[in-house]
Amino acid sequence: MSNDCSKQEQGELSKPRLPPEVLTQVFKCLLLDGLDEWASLDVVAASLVCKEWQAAAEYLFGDTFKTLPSSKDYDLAYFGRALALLRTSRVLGVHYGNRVENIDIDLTLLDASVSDTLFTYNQAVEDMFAELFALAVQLCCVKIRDTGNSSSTDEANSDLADISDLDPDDETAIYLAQFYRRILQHCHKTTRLILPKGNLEEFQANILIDGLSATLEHIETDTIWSRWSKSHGGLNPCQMSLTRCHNLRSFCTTYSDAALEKIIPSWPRLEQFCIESYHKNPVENIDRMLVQLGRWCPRLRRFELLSDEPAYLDDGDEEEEPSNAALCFLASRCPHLQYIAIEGNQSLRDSFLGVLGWSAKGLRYLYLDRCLGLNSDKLDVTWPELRRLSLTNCLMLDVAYVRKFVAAAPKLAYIEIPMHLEHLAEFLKGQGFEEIYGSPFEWQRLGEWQDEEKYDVPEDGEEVKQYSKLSLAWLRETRGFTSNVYSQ
Amino acid sequence: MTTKVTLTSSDNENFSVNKEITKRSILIKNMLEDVGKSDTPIPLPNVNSKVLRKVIEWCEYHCMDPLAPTNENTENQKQNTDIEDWDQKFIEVDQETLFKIILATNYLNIKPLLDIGCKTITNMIKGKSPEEIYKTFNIVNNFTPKEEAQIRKENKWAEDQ
Repeated sequence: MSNDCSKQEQGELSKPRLPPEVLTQVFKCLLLDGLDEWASLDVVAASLVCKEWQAAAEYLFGDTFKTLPSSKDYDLAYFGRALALLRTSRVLGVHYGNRVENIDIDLTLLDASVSDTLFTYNQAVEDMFAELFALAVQLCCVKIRDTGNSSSTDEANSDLADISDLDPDDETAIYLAQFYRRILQHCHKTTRLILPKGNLEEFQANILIDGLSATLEHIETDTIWSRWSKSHGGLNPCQMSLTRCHNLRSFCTTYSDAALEKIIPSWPRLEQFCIESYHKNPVENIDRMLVQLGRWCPRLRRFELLSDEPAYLDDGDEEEEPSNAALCFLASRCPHLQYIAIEGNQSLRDSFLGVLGWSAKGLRYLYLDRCLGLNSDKLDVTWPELRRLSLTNCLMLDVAYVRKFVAAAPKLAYIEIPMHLEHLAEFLKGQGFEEIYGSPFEWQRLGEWQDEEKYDVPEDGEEVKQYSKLSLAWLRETRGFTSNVYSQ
Repeated sequence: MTTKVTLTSSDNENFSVNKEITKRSILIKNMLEDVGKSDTPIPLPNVNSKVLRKVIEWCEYHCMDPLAPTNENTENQKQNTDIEDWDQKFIEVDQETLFKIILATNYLNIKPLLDIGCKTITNMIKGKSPEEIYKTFNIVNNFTPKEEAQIRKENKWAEDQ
């Protein structure tokens, strides 16, 4: 055996070997040759040939393994090959699976039927995902997609009502539950969950949220609304699951929901709260929701209340937008606020800025768009840390207002002014600003540029990675406990 | 004025080649510029006669092609998956010779021929599994061979799923 081995090694040594720079060029050809994601899989396969090839390919990997399956329109053949390569890398001790941070699940792959109406569960796909999750031991983010859901491409709130009724006890739901329970066994470090558009109960999202509740820090969802009967305390199962995510640090939803008032007290660690389109599903209790946010989430750093509605709304709509008083309360109770973005709010008054300037001394980013109630230049607050200020379409502001704002923000590096204040150019130039993007409304002070990303809540799992082994063991135990309870 | 250059292979075979043709190789071109007018043979200790003959054959066929830019920034422009018919036939050699041609062109710095060699290797890799690749190239997988069986045993559960 040893003789065979030495003969083999001698044979290997006598053969010409390609130097690293040539290997790198070969792999570059592979990448440039391929029009799809298969090309990167070819490089991965080549990297598993020997150590020298692996070293040469390593240079080209970049984010190859970060998100799997990496193609948006991946098919089973691609998925199967990617999986086989991950498996081989594990056997060879290279462990590419350790580099997978995000897994993107397209639920339509679980349906093996050709027909649009009949559902046939694809057990093989479940097995493949289960193996992928087992290999991705550092997984931070799970994203669920449903490309077959017609509402996933629509935006209007009315589409929410178009989602077909699926009984949570039907066969599809049962299979989905089985699928989630299987993959959840491996999500020890998963901190981020991105949910698909549509009715969350249709996707059995409550099982996922429950299973991840111990480690979950970030949730992105379209809505937490459900058309099915409500249960405990007026909350549907998904909303109940959200109340168990006590470590949540970031919550982003497209539509507001009345249930948030009851859920928010469960998130004492919340640092980021975002409603992307609050006008599309106006809720009567939005003020109470903000008050809850102020009461229970003192660590809030980033607050976004966005809307793409036109600047001028009917009086009726004003009643369902957050009041100035509620926003003032929120600002007064959240001294760590660094990033605020509010769009299309006619109720907002200068008193909000007064409270904000007094409370959140560390505010770095202030974005106000179509806030027509701001009109007074009598504010007497300073903004010692403010870097970026945007006052787009705040049409009631005058020159004196903006001048005073700039004077009170010594570290201001970027400002976007309303269109009607174009003649502020000379003043801004005098303050050291220069026009950017060829727009007379956007100004930047040279050398002071700050990236927006700096105001984000830290990315996936950064804190989890810092936990001691003991803490992780505890987290696993807790997660296991949750799963067990649920499966009973 | 000398129009011929003598190249000496590693096995001491001399090749008398038109000077313009040898300028396909950046290495030889630079050497000629350095030595000036001289009839001294240029030794190529890394290239044997068999491979050198092939390389000269390629250079003679492509003598009218525009010289390849040396600038790295143009790298993307030259990437093209297709290999021309003549080059395709030229590169249809046994694997050992192919590797030696690639090594020689890398040493002589003949980028277009190196590209053809790399693309040929690329075509041999496409769509294959690691096992198929190292069988194709007869490469010994040196990923901790002694521990591989143990690792495979430990991870059997992952394959069984």
